[in-house]
Amino acid sequence: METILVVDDLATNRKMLCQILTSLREYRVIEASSGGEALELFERERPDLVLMDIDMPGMNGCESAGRIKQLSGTLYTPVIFVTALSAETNLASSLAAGGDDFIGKPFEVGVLDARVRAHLRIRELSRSLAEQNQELQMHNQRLLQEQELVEHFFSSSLLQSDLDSELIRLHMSPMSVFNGDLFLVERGPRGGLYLVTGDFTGHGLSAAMGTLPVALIFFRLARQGGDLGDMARELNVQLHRLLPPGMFFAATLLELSPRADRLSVWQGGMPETLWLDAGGKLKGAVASRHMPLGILEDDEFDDSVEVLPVRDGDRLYLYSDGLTEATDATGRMFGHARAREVLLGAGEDRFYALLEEVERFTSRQKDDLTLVELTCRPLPPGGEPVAGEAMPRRWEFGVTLGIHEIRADDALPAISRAIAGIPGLGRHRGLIAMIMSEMYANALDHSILGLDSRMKSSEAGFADYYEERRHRLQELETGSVRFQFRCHDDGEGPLLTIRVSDSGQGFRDGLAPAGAEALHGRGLQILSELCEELVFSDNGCILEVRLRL
Amino acid sequence: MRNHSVNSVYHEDDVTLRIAIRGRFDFSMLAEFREAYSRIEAEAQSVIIDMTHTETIDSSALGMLLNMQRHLNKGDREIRIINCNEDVRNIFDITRFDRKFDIS
Repeated sequence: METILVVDDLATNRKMLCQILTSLREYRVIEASSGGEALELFERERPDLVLMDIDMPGMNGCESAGRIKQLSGTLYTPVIFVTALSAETNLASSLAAGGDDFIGKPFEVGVLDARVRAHLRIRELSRSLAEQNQELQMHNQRLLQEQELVEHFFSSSLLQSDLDSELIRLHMSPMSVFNGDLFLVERGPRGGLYLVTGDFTGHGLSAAMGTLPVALIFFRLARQGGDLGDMARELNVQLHRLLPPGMFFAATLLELSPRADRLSVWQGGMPETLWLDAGGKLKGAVASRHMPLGILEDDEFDDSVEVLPVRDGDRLYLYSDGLTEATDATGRMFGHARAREVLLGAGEDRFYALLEEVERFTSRQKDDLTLVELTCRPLPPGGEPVAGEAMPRRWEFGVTLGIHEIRADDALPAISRAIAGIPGLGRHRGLIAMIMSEMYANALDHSILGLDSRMKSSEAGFADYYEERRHRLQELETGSVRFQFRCHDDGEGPLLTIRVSDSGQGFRDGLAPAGAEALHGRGLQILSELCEELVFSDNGCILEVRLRL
Repeated sequence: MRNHSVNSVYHEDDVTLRIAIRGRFDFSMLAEFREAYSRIEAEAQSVIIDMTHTETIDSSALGMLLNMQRHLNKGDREIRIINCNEDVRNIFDITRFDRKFDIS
């Protein structure tokens, strides 16, 4: 039911209007006898329409109409003046002050009814428009917020890239906020760096959605010091599963060794990567040897990488097809030959020379464009561990292998994976795996199985040894080996103690140093070199080593 | 996908045998590794051990490499170990294998 406010200083006029209105329709009618009272009532009751006398003592109709209009905001609240038409009544100015219409007295009931209903209809329209507007505005706001959120998400996942401007220069010119081109770089746990750059099919958000899984997989494997071929394989598996058919990721994956003497490359569906020496001479061009990621089934996928014997100061240039396919006003493409020519012909700053040339050439950018320059320099392991990746100050981890695990002979990789999962320990995975392997060999081969490593002194004996080991392992009925890892920070950094105790007869060999020719006895040599301290106890059934992480 | 394997191929020139080792290089690969080098052609002049995909090695792997060297050096062949990661390289350095092998 609509509410109508009737404002008149004369009670008889109000009564009459009330009666007419309520007889016409089911209106709720409220009354005010002055402009001031009208404003009060308006604020409290929010009527849908106001019928207003113009000439009232105190605040007159024009003024209160103006105030009411201010109070009602964007929602249309009709104010209709009901007044006797006379020379003193300046209708124009009263309408200008905020009235929407007027009804001259005396009026016909039918006219009053028609006018009131017409204005209420307009109010209804105005209301639904306002609601739609508000909805649109909220929708817009939400979209903006979401876009901001996703942008933040993307940029913060990409920001984890520790971009070293000394070594890497990057130019990306996306066609929209979200970008199908991707560039990520991360230091490896042993130094060196990993890099991926590539191009998803399409532009905008649909092209960008694949970048998140790529970033997550890339950073995880890079920080673990994973194998580049394995990285390519895992990216392919995940993208194959996640991306809709017809969408894929052309990419180049690089791993630079810590000494900057090896550059591993996996390249699928990307333009050639150019390899220049410090003097700018072309040393090679790595062409794509694989299909883009996300297309092939896992069993069809080829994870083989090329290894370039790079040298300190060599430079690699990688670009997306947005560069080679940039077109000029006549529709000619920039092309590989021109890219190569510009790079090789340029003076000191090849990176900018190529960018400038593309810019000069291009009439209108059509595709996301990425250009990367990587300079080969030895790199120490990554600096500060990423937030949340710091090693706990003190931790312990123990695992006991029973007879079944010992016989199965495959427990070590699982233990080393568990250890590598401790925050901050991923970078030591290889080292710890090697130490565990030697310690376990000592415990199992000698203490439990009673094998004599002198057997291994000849080539034939070497094979016999492992045959005998296999045999004794099968026959073994009881036995256990316990690994204990304890780590604490003694003020000089984390100190890791690894203790291996076994149920066997103890260690029988001495610590005889092995010559370079000897086929045995090298395990302990490796251990004593890798660790700060190496202590046997309990007649050789317990071996404890300490190493500084 | 196989995590641990030995793969051997001849280069196009037919005189270089390339043995690629994937995953953990230890005695579990003993038979496969011996198989890879023991069938070497008489005319093969050099052997490359490709450790691009080798995660770790242990002392038994060192023994296996020495065995291989004894076997192959009867024919006076060049043996190179390439693309070692830092951990593997470290083991070779510690054990002075760089004196016996061409390691990079």
